[in-house]
Amino acid sequence: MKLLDISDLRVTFRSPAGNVRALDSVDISLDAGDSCALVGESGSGKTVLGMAIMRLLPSNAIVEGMVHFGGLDLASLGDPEMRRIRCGEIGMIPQNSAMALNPVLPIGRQVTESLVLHLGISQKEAEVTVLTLLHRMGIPDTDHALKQYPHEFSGGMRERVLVAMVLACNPQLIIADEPTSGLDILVRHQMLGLLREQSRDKALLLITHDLGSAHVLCRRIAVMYAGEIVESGPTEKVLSMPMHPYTQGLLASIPSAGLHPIPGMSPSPGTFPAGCRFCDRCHSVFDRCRVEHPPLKTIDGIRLVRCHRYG
Amino acid sequence: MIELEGISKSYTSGFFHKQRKTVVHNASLAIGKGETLGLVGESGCGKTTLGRITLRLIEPTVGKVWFDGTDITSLSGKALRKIRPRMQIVFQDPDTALNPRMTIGDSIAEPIHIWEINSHAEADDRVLGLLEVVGLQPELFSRRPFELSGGQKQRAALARALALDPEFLVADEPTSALDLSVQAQVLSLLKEVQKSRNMTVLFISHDLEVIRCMTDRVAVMRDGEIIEVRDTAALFASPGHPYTRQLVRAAYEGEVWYGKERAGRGRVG
Repeated sequence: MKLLDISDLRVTFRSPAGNVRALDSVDISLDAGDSCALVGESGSGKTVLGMAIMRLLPSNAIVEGMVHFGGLDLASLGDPEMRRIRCGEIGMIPQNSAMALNPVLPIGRQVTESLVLHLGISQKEAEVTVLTLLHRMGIPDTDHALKQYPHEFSGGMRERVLVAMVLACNPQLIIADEPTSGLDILVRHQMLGLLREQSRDKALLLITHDLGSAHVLCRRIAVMYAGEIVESGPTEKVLSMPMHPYTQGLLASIPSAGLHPIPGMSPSPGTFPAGCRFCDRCHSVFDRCRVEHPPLKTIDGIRLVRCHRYG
Repeated sequence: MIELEGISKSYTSGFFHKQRKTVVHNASLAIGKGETLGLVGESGCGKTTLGRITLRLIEPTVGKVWFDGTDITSLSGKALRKIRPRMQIVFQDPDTALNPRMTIGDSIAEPIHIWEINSHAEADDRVLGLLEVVGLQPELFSRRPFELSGGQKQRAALARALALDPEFLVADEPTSALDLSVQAQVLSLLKEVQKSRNMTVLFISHDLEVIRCMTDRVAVMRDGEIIEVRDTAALFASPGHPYTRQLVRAAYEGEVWYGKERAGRGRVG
């Protein structure tokens, strides 16, 4: 039994203009010690996937398919049980550190919040537990730090505080949503080191458009485009020998590869072309691509590609 | 072409201006005509402030700025305004450059209307030409910023900056807010435009990979000071200052190098 087992996950948003499918037939599974990067650009659906696992999507979202965690079907859980899972079993490091912390509460109160609520211990007892954690995060002068407010910290420090909050309850699965986005080079370097160390015996789902961090942190990578997984496999293999034209295009567009742009724009949900969703931008499109939607195919037993070029 | 001489910028606060914070300290730089100089450093190092001082969008506390042989630091408002069309800036956030209530066409035409006496028809023609240069469809002329994607908005902001055919462009983190493939589109466009117009460019970024492929020389800043200025290739091959070495090493970590230069660095899992 896998720790996280997602099967045929689909997310549709209801809107006045009609229903919009944002995520389509996604399958992902992770065990403790596993690490998977979900890589894609805006509109690819990767953040929706993270939120769907945590059941944090807005009320107009229709979620279909299965999300099993530790054998439990998360969709069947009541609110209190789901809250317990969110507190203690699955930890999500959100994207924007500045927005994720409460600006009017001292750091100490925020980091201990999940411990106090989840374990029912006192504030003082929770602080003792948290002090060691903050120290391991490299936050100096931890006694004083607990009394400080988020705005008194630098961006990098806030990120570490967020990681500390998430790890305080020792979750089995960490979902990190763009943890390196907007960070300076040195701070990013520290964050990667921190995440690598802290996720060693846990399952890690990294949602990012930073290919470098996927390379450093994750054994496997799944490339998403227009709400679907278009390629997945071992990180090293996918990044060095990409099979899907989108993955190839993405890798060719990084500065060190010569900045070769992929022509056109990612389609927004609701405007996906019939057939392959990448057909309008693909350099090796056939007629078949425009009419027939390609399924995910297994190549060499370990790689999955959604492309008619491969059979 | 551009010369910064002993630039310092401090801000004071407190009732009697007792507290002083120095954001830039004694910075000197020279940018040759047609050259792209990179300015790299971490948040708070003063690179954005220095970039704006170069255009006198911020006044330096001490020091001089020379533009094409003229000391612009001592120019009066009127005389400075005459030089302004020759120097422009593109910001990280195109939403601040584009008035949300104006159409793209009007935004790009605005500098033309302010600086030159053109009929509306002539200005519109110029705008359509600029849209073509930046690779935007002519239909976007009458759209408003909220109808465009991030990449499209940044191209429109670039078109606006190019409207008066400037000789000098400051690009302040122009693609930091954009997706990878969109970044590639905007950066290759910038490269192309720089080459075809032989523009002098000051490219400010905290992304070393981008700096590496966009610039001829790089200046590294830390805590308000310029600590190293080298040819880009040389800086990356053998960074001199320990801080630069730290930056380059950290930037290379886990980077995916494609093609010949496959470094294979970074560990998995």
